[in-house]
Amino acid sequence: MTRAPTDGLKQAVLAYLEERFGLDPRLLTNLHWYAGAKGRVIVGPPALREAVTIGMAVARVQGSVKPTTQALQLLAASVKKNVVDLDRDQAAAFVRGRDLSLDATPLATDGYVLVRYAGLPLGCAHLRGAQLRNMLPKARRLEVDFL
Amino acid sequence: MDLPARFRDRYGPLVDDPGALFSSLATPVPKAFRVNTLKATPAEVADRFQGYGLALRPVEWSPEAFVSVPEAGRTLDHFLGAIYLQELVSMLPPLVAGVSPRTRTVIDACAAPGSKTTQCAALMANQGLLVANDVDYRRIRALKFNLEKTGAINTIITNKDVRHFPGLPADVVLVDAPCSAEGTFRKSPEALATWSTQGIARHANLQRQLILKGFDLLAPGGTLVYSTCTFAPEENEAVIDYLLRNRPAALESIRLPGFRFSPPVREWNGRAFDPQVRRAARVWPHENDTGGFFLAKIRA
Repeated sequence: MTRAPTDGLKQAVLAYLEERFGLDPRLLTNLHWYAGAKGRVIVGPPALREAVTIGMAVARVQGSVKPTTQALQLLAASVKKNVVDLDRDQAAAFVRGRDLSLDATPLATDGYVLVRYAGLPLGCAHLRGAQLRNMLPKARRLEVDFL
Repeated sequence: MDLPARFRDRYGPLVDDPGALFSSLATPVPKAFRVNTLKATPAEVADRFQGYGLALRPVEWSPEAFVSVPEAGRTLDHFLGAIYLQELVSMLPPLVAGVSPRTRTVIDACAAPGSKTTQCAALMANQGLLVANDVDYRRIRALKFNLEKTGAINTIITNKDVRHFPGLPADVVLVDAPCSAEGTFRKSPEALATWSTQGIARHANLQRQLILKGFDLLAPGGTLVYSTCTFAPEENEAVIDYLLRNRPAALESIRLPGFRFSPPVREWNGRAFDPQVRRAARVWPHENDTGGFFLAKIRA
């Protein structure tokens, strides 16, 4: 179900993560890379023939590159730009899966962003102007009452 | 709650204080969670819970484990994957196995929904190779979800009958075997009301095959931890005895400072077990206020 990605695909993801989030490619280059279904680009351990799934999807590439929430959460400490910080009420709405209209245009530029609350990485969203479109996987969305 | 008389007769004689065991079974098991050190430290989580006004109680035997409250499932920490809701006894096998960043290969043979797998990933610091297997395809989805949520990346999921698993020399194999689950009655009182010994022989038959295969997957010097959440000696000591009669296995004593283990059963239905079986351990619900559990640590 997974195969080795083309070198171009791997480089496209690494270049995107570096350009968009300031992520050092060396964070991911010592992992094994795979191309999965639906444009998923995956990092993980060495392959095993019997694997049903392997490692973690870093991004989906279908024309453009879309980072995954789990990758941004895991790499959050190294993200240097295109971050949107939310207040408490906004964060509660975001983790429930809501889209948000921000009061002011944030410092981030249009495109995918890392959303944070109190320094904690909530996940991926798409920013356009002051509109923040929720990119959390549906299964990850949660009614959070304590934050 | 009315315990079936046959249940009292069967298990009462195995403990020093049957009354304490039986009354413990009538109370709900405390909620607990484990801090996922791939995403947070125990101190950070404890600080945040204090901010939420939710009570936490640390345990002596693991800095990552906390006795908690039902509201933990509605915290930001749960959303983040910074905590994993997991019963205390379920955390024992990876700790007893000694999984660490130096462990190169771990096979979690009966992995779904991933409590022990995600714990292993954290103990391995996301290094090495962690194979999470489950025979039931319907449970793979939950396993995958939990691995993604906790940020475990050193993992491979397989969907095999372990008995036909390919040879892959492993430093650690966990066989948390399907069992009659008598130790989980505190979570499901209705299961206790309908308790019978019917499933025990069927489970024991599968467990004997799983433990042999688990042992055969070990690299030389590797460690197998066999566990169940049931009381039936047929599924516990008798399975270890069967392994010892069929493989050159060596049992190691189980130690986890701060946790109270009880000795295993030495004989059952008039048959004495191999003396090495004494190194296995039982966990009775009333002794640590947990579910019931059985563990054996086996060296190839």
